[in-house]
Amino acid sequence: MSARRPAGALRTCLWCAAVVVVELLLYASYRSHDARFHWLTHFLVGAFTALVAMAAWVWFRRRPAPYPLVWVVAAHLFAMVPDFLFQAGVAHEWWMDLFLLHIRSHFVPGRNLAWLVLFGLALTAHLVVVDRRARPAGSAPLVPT
Amino acid sequence: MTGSDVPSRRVLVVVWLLAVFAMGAVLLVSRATRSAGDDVDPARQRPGILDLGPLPVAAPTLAAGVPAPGGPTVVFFAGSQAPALCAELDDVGLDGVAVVVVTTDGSACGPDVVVLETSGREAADAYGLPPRRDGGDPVGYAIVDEEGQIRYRTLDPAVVGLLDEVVTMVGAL
Repeated sequence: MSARRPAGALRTCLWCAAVVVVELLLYASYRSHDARFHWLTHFLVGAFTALVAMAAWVWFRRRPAPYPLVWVVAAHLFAMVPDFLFQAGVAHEWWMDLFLLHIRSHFVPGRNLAWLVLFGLALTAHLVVVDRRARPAGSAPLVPT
Repeated sequence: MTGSDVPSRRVLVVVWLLAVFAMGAVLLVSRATRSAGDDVDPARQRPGILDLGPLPVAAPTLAAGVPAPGGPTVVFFAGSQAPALCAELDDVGLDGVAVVVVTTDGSACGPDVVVLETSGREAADAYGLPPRRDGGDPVGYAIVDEEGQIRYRTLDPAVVGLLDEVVTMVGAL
């Protein structure tokens, strides 16, 4: 127990640190001072999507989703694809909303505050599902009632 | 969290609090650090897409030949940044594009650039540029296509360092 928990905590910290570094690099990929707005929109939309997907995973698999922070970063990267294209000289077009509503997500009423609320709701839903549905590895399967 | 264990309810509550308050703090920072020259609505600033909202609309004539007939025109509303902007324009790939710099200080640009010494706010209002947060003279630009239609307009107080974005948007016409 004493050897396993520090190892698990270290692993968790390494994952968290890696995610923070990746997000800092993504933020730096935006230029100019008004970039925070765009970075935050796509992060919150990506995190919302990842949390909903992970809630579905937990619901059906009855296990916590592996590497949840990686899901969030992956969804954020997917939402940012049009911005990577823009930096390569490709202007935005409406079809780029395929990338998690890349354009329209900026124009929701309330702007990023609305996405923060949705993020909070999705996080709540995900954590409630983890609390109610997830079972420890190796536990006996539940009999449906 | 690698997902191999089921976290306790206390851990889940801590995760929720940390995540929501951290992102709330980031949101507050992003709002607090916006500059006076930014758009009151950040979604409209540098959107990167043509024909947003009511666009395209006909571009008003600011002077004879502005916007240029038969070709694309970029109208920069330079405010006090005209000297720096003019210094950078020579190195930007805007060949075949009429470039207009609206300024109030009579800055000298290269021979291929039309300089309009006029009220920046009046010209920006005519082109429908949104107001900046402090109500001052807008710094930004509008892109007009060969048919005289405004296809893109944005405030951009950092435009001098972001002229490659102008090239990208002109290329999308």
